[in-house]
Amino acid sequence: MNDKFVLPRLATGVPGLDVLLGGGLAEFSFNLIAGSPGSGKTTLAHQIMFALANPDRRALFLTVLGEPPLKMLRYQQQYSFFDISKVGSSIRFVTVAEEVMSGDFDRVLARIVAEVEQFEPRLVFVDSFRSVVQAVQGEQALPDGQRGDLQQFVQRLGMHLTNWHATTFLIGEYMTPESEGNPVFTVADGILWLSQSLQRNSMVRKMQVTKMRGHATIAGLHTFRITGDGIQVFPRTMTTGATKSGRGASEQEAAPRPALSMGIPALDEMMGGGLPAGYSLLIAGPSGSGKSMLSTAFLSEGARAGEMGVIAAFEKSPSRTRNPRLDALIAAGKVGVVDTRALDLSIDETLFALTDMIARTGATRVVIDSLSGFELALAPTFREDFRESLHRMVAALTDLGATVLMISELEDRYTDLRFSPYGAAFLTDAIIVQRYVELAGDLKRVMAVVKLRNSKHSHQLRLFDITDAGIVIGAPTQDIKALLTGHPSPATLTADELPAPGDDS
Amino acid sequence: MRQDIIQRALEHREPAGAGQADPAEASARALDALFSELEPFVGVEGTRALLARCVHLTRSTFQWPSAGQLMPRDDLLRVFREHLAATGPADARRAGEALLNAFADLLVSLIGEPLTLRLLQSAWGGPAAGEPTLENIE
Repeated sequence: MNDKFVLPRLATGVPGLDVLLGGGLAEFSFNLIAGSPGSGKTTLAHQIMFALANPDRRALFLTVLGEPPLKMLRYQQQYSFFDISKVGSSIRFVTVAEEVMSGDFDRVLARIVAEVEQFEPRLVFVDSFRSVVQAVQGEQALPDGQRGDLQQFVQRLGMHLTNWHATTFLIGEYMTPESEGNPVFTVADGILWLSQSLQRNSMVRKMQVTKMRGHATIAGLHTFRITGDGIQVFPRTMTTGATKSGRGASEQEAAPRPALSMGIPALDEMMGGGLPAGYSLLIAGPSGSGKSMLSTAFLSEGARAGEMGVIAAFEKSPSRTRNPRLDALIAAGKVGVVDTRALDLSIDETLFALTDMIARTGATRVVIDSLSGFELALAPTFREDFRESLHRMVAALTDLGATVLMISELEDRYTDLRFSPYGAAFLTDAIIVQRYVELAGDLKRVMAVVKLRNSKHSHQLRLFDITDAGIVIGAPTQDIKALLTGHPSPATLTADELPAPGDDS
Repeated sequence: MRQDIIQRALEHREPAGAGQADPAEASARALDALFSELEPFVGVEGTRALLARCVHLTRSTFQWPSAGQLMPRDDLLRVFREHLAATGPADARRAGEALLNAFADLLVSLIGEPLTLRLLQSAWGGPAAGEPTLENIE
């Protein structure tokens, strides 16, 4: 029999944060919210407090030095989470600035304990805790002799608050090197580190759970955004290998996947029946070659079959894609559009928007139009890891059971055959390439299925036209050779080169 | 609504059984209750800074005594009460109301009306604006 104590968790109510924390913060834990000025520490603390506080779980917010209390309320009220009805009854703001200015740890502790005894809060916040330390001990560098005093103070504070069943948050402006050997960091059960970085004209906020006793968290840096609704964290998604149906990857490989129609019968034939569900497909081609038309046909066919779609259209306005057929699908509610207009996105924020829409609408067909537009919409700092991030995103989406179609804008080159400037070809299960060729003085479009993992497919290069009805695929170009070199010539097949009957590959 | 709350706060703080109105005492008691509400939150010095600003704003209509910023609260209120009492009931009432109104206006300008009304209600009792009173419920 194993009757171990299970640590109760408090869900923070901050979107995305509980995913990082593996379900929430440990009850009665002693936490530090640390970061540079302006990184969102007080906002995070307030958001957690307003989400969790109620008449049975009161919150005490102790202000010290730094932002004056009235100004703090003035600014924090701008967030939608600020619930005035909780102020006074479930949430009490108290300043301990005068005790702190006395320079006496004992007096500070006595005041905090007195307030806790009086209000009996289950949540206690100290903003800014660093001000407490600085006011009592002078400036930043702590001589060894004073470090002991601080450690004792922090330990006594933690002991008192835990005994009063209070989950505690110390908020402080700390820089990474200062954390080394700092007693606050040693005593804390959990540390949430907030940072912001500027690269070129783009500012990116990141959060890291650097310590969390008692339970596992998602490691690494996770982007977050502050809007009028407060903080939203976009956890750096790790794929589990499990699919939406709960099957493992190997089991999934073994089971036959239903083929999804691309909405163009001749293309379905070229693909041996269609695109297997849950696959990722890269459509590569130059500007105007019909990539968006093909993706629209894919979404339209899904809508016809009762499958919802999602498009992240990076090169077009979400309200008007300049594609009447796609606009009609969006207007009819058959395709959801992810707003991608920001130029400081992270991959995880985009992935969150996509997975959120998939969860809300049950969408199974996802289009990303296009990878180059996507890269441009990202904050510069994320462009360096674009390929790795793309890999995570495709894996996460296909794990959810979505079939993903990505468009890669590629200029025609007649000296090599490339599919994506991001090396994304190996990430995908299937590749369709579109090219312009010149035939008898006319500019023609050709298309081929280059790759379709674990499936038989055509290798033919097929001419196609874009008509009012969409893409119309024509005959194979068997009587012409070297189309892709830019120097086509009539083909003269030898007997060995003739295709076997019934084999179009 | 703010004026109603202030009027009520002053009326409820008239000394019981005095026979006649004592607006100086009522104003001092209302200010004392407001200090009790504000001091834990913004501190003694923060509350005194707010009072100093209100005194400055109403100085054109009433000549307040110059009270030391860090004078103990009881002493401050005593000086305030005695000064008002010396002006006569009508002026004392007008000056007390003006000061409390200035206090409320200042808080509204800093933290908005809903939170200010909530704070005043907590200090002086009575429902905040828009909240049902017991009478309304019954």
